Amino acid sequence: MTEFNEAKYAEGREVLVSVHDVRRTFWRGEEPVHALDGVTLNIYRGEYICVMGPSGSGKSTFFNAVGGLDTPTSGRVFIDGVDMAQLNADELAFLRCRKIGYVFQQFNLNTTMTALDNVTLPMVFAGVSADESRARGMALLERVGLGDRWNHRPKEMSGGQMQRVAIARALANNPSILLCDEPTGNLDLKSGKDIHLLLHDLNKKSGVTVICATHDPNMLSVSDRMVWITDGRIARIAESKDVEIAQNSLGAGEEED
Amino acid sequence: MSSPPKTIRNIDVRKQHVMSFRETWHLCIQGVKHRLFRSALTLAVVVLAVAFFMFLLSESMFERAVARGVTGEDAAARASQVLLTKMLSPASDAISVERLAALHARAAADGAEDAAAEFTGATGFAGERVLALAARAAQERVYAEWLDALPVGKRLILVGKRTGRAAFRHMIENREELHRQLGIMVDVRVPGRLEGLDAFLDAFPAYEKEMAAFTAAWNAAVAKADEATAAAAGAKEVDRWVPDAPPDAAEAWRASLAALGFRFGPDDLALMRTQLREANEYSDVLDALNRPALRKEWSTKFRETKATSAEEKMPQLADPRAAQLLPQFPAELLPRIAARHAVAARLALLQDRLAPVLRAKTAAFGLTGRQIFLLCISFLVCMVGIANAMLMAITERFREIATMKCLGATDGYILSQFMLEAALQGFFGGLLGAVVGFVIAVARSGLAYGAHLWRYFPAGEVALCFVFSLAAGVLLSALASMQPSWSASRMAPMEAMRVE
Repeated sequence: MTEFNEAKYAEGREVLVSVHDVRRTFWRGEEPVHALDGVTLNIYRGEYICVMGPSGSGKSTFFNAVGGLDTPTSGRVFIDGVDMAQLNADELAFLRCRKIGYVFQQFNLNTTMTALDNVTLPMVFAGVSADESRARGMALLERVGLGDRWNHRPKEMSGGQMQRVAIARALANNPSILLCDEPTGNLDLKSGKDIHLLLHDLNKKSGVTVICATHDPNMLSVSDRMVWITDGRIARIAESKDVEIAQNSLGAGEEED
Repeated sequence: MSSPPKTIRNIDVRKQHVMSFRETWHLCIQGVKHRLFRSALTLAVVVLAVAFFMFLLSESMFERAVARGVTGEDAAARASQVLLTKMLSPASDAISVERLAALHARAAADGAEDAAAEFTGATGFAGERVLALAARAAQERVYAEWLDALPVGKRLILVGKRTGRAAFRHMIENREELHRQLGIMVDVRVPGRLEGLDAFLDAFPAYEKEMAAFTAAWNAAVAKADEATAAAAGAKEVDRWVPDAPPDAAEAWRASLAALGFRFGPDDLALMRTQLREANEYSDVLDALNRPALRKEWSTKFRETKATSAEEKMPQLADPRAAQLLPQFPAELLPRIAARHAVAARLALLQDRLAPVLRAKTAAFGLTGRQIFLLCISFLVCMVGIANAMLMAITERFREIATMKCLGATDGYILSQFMLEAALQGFFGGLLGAVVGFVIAVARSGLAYGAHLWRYFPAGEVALCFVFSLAAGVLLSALASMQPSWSASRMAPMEAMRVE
C-alpha cells in the first residue's frame, strides 16, 4: 500500500477547489449530528476525483458544500480562489451558473421541456442570446451523442439518455467543475458504463474537472484519485494507479496489497 | 494536510444576469402549457371564487337598477295625481311645511327665484318672503326629526307626550328647564348647537303666524281653482272629466288655473289626460271584475287558481278561457282590456316582489348588510382556496426550483416566475369566473324582473363589476402565492432538494 503523497501529486498542478477545515452540524432535536467534522482537501484543475463512502458518511454534505448548495457551519470553501462564504445570493447564482455544472442521480430534468430547452436553460439564465444558445445547445447534445433527439421530452427517453442530456445541461456555460452526485445510481450497468466513458472523455478532452460521488467500481477505474469519507472525516486518499480494485468490491480499505 | 491556497487568483464573480420580462414570460408560459391539468385545478378554485363574487355583485347591481327604474316609473305614473291634489285640495300647515322644506332643498340647485315662482304666484307672497319662510320650514323639519330620533325617556323629559308644534311651544314656555335638562344630557347633540335651537325657538311664534298666513293665502288660491274646475266640469268628477273633455275646454280650464299662479303647462295637461284615461280604464276593469255575477263566473272558470283580489285576476284576462267572460265587461273597455291590464298587473306583482329591494337601495353601494357579509365570506374562501392551491402547486415543485437554482436561477427570477404564473391563473380564472357569475346573475334576475331588467340594464355598473372581479382574481392569486413563492425562492437548493 502506497501512502498518498500530496506534495508530489500537487507538482505541476493548479488548485481549483480548496476545502479547508469544513464542518457542518445538523441538529436532531437537542443532539448535534456532525455530518462533516473538519474536512480539508485540495482538488486540482483537470482532475477526475471520486468521492466514496457509505450512505450517512457525509459524502452528500461534502458535495453540497463544494457546489455552493449549502453553507458550512464553519470552515471555508474556495473555488478558483473565491471564498464562497463571502458571496451574496446573486453572486452565488452567477457562480453556480458559470463555474459549476451539476449532474444528479435523479437527472432532475425539467419534464415539460425538450432536451434542447433543458440544455439551453442555464444559458437563458446567463443571458445568452437565443440563437447562440440554440447553436451551443445543439453542439452539446451532439457531443453527448443525442444530436438527433433534441426535440424529445424526458419521458420519451431512457435513463441513460436523460443522464446524457443532464450532462450536456451541466456543461452549458463551460464550467470548470462538473459535480456529479452518483450519476449512475439510477442506471443499468450498460448505461452506467456509457456515462463513465462520457465523463472520462470530457475530462480528458475538454479538461473539465470532474468531482464524482459513486458506489460504482467501474467509475473508479477512470478516475485519477479517490477519497474515502467516513463519519464526516476523510479516511483515506489514494491515486487510482496505486489501488487495485477487485471487481464489485466497494468501500474503504477493502483492497489488498 | 493541505493549507488554504496561498495564491488567490481572482476569477470575476459578478451579479447574475437579470432575466428580462420577456424571457421570464416565455419560460412561464412554456411551463403552464405543459402543466395544463394541474393549472386547471388551481384555475377552477379561482373561477369558483370569482364567480361567486361577481354573481353577488352584479345581482345587487341589477336589483338596484331595477328598483331605481321602477321607482321612477311609479313616480312618473302618479305625477298628474300629485298635481291635481296640489291645485284642488286645501293644504294644512304640515303640508305647507313639507312643500316649503322641499323648496328650500331645491332652491340651492335650481335657482331660488325660479323655484319659488309657483308659491309666489299662488299666494301673492314676495319671492324673498317665501324663501325666508322655506328656510324656517326646513329648520322646523330638522328639529322635529331630531325630537323624533331621541330616545323615548329623554323625549318625555324634554317635551312630555306632546308632539308636533305643541312640543315646540312647550319648549318655548319652559326654556330654562330645557337648558338645564340639555345640560345634563351630555350625549344629546342638538342640531346647530344650543344657540341654534334658541334662535329657532325665539323666532318660532312669528314663524308660526307667517306659516298660517301663507297656508291661508295658498288655500284661497286652491278654493278659486276648485271653483273654476267646478264651473268647467259641471257635475262630473274632475279625474273623469279631464281625459274626456274636448281639447278646447280642457285648455281653457288649464289656462284659468295657470292664471291663479299654479305651474300647470300644456304639457302637464296632455300628460294628465293620458294618465287619467289609463287610470280610469284600470279602475273600470277592477269594478267590472268585482261585480258579483262576474266574480262567480270567474271562480268557476278558473277554479284551480288562487287569485282572489281583482289585481291578481288581471293577468288571467289574457287566458283564452277568459274570452267567455269578456261579454260581461262594458263594451267600450273590451278592445283594450287584456293587453294593457296584463302589463299593469305585472307591474303590481313586480312592485310586490321589489319591496325588499326598495328597502335595500338605501344601503351602501346597493348592498345590504347580508350581502356585504356574504361578499366578505366569499373573499375569505377565495383567499384560502387560492392560497392552498398555490401552496400545493409550489411545494410539489420544490425539486424543480432547487434544480433551477443549481442552474443559475436567481431568487428574484424564481419569485417572479411563480408570481407571474399565479397572476396569469388569476387573470384567466377571474375572466372565466366573472363571465360565469354574470351569466348566473342575469339568469336569476331575468326570471325575477323580466323585461324590466333589460329596460334598466346597468351596463356601466356591470362593466365596473367585471373589472373589479377580474382585479380581485389577479390580486388575490398574486397575494396568496406571494408567501410560498417567497419562501421557495429563498430556500437553499440543497434544502429544497431534500424535500420529497
